[in-house]
Amino acid sequence: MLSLRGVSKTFVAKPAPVTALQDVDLDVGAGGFTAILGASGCGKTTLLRVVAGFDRCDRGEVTLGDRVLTSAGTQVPPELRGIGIVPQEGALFPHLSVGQNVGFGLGGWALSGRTRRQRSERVRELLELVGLPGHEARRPEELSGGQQQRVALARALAPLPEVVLLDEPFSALDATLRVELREEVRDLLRSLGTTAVLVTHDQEEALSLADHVAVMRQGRVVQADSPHGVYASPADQQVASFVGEAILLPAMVAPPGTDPVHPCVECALGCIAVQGGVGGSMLGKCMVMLRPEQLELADGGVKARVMSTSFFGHDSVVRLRLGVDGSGAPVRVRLQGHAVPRVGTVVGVRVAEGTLGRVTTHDHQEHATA
Amino acid sequence: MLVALLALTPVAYLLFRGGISLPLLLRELSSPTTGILVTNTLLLALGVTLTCAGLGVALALLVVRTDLPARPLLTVLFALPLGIPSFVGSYTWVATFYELAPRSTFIYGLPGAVIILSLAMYPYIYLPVVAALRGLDPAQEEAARSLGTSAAVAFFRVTLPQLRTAIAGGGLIVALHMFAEFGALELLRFRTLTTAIVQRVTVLSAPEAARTLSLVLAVGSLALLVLDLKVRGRPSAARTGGGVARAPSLWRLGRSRWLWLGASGFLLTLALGVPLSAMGGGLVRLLLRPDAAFDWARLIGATQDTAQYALATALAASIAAIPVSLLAVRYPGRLAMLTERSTWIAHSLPGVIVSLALVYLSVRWLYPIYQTSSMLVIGYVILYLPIAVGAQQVGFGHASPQFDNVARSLGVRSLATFFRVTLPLALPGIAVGAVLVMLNVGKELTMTLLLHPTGTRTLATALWATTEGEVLDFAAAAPYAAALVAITAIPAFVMIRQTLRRPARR
Repeated sequence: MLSLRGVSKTFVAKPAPVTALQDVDLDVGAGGFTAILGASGCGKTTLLRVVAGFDRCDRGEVTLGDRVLTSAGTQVPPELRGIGIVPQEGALFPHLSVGQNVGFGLGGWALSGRTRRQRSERVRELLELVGLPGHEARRPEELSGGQQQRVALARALAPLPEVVLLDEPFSALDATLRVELREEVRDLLRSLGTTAVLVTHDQEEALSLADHVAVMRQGRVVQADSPHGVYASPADQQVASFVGEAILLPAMVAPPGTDPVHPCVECALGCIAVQGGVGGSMLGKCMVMLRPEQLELADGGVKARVMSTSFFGHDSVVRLRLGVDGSGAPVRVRLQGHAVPRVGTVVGVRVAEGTLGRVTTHDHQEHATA
Repeated sequence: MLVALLALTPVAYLLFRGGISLPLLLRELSSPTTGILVTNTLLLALGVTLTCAGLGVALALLVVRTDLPARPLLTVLFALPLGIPSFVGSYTWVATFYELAPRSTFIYGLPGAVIILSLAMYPYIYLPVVAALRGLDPAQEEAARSLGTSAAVAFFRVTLPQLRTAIAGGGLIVALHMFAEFGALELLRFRTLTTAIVQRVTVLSAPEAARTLSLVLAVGSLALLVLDLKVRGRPSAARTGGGVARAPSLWRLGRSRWLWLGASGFLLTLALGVPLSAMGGGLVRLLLRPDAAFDWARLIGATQDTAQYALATALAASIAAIPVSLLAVRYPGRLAMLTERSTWIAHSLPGVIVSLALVYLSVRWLYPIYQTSSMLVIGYVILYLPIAVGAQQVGFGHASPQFDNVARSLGVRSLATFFRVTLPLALPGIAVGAVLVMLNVGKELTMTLLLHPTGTRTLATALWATTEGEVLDFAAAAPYAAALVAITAIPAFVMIRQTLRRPARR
């Protein structure tokens, strides 16, 4: 298991020092696939570099299993960590062939004939594994972007690292290839039992690939949970809107009702049962978060005017404003099928039967600094 | 640091070796001669550098970015004047004019010096610009085009700023060369600080006066270094992303291509044709002369000596330069900058001052190396270290730290990473540096005249000896000039190929 405890790092910069990491705690289960999700500049790449040993952190500890990699007194050099990396655009060594790139971590020049044969055998295996058999003699620049990434992965896997770090390796690829390659990579890493840490700003990528997602913001991990947990129970409003489309409505906490597990809040869409309690807002105002797929159009619902619609093929999103004159709060509804109402018409909207909202809070600290 | 200290010894010599007595300094500085010398030096340096920059960039664009006919051939031809030492070039011009128009004074004085020296020096800007142009990602210019700028504007706003490092680096070499040039200017009868210093040392025996003047020159080159720092800004040569740049789209010259081709031919006639034909003519006359009493063994000896010095210096300077360039590229800080810049200071001093400093030091403390080849090589290294550093920086700039990180994450230790990743990636730059050093050693005249061990004689000093007669007889000089050109042409060719080699694959 890869563990980070209280990892902090500040860069000296003008006009003011930049805090890249602030007391980051993170556990990456052995053999698991963890995604670090955050907008650019949130510190996720710095975190990766600290784990790989390229950068030192100011405070905190990084351990892998029972080995301390980074702490106040130790800084294990990158070559002894057993952590591979697949950089953003592959970073294949331009002066070496594909085979030499993959074999780079398998010993230097002083090789006997036998180990040399073993090495070329291993290179062959790895290239097969990543779907590029027989590409040993090719030059990196002859390969497409996706192929370069495959080679970079094979190169990282060659010395059998315990952990592979993936630094936005799919972001430069086109959409279809991206989806295909990333699922292939996930399956490959899973079958090898290699622990993987993926850094990404793409929430869809993080949610669909990983079995554990850590959301970072301004140098902190604000939430670490399963993909479902992050999506359904976001820690605060920013996380809610970052990991998916969120509808945020002001609400009042209703008097304690019949269901103690799922208390109710009163908002523009009526009385909504919420999960996870109402937090500190016991007596007053709060915000309730819903996802577009939790709403449906129904004649009996709250009246709303259709502002615009988007058709995606598999579903559609209708943007509404509550009220007959369309002056109320904005709301999005995701519809299955293709019966999309026309723009300008008035429809009824309600919360689907049996769904639960969630009371969310502002991140107050962030508000103060923003 | 050690390297920097070595490089700074001549400066220390200038400052501390009692040469600075204030009244003398003031007297020398206030004399009208000094004013003229300073003006002459500045005008020459400015004129030659600007002309070279214009020529170098224009020619580089012509061969890299246009559809000019015979581009591969021209690319190499344009770089060839690099193989002709500037004082040899000037010598051939003087000889040609002497023969064709003995009364003409056209080539003497500032305009002549600027034209003739620019023709010899422009490859120092042309070659790095060609290399930089080829390394640029055409996507940037395309992005600029898509933002609504014309091709020309996109070039000036996007591409030209990125050539800054190449132009400034080459320009600095050219300008400093002009500060230190002796032979060519002596032949073209144009007086600068350097020629005056040499004159004060050798003819007038006034080393004190020579030192004061060198101080002025040192201040000038220091100013140049600061200026270069301002122009260049921070080195940001490291290319992120592992992709390899595509070939840029070419500008269509259309009908004007023939005009450009003609202009190229004219330029080549001046820069290559004149020196080569003068040399050829001289050789033919020498061979046809019945009383040919030319000492061929002496020529061969001089050739061997020159080659040995050039190789030894290239090796020593490359090794000494690696830490300096690596420091400057990877850890750009005050220390790195000071180290790098300090190597330039000695380079910009005329060879004669470095020589005098070395003679003084070796006589005092290192007598065993006095008047040996090692002392001459040390002198060469001090003079040409910055050339190696400049070229190596470009090389190390290509070896992005990202590759080091990847290598280390694959379990390769930092020293092995240096040899397996950083060095191979920087090798083209290091090779270019070594070759440039060889070229310069081959051409070097002033220091060799003063420091060479008794009995040895390089091609440059042997050639120079032929100018000392009353009547200009280029026939006697031609074999040395030809051998000098041959010896500098080999490394020049290697360097040109190295810079211009480009994988045909996309």
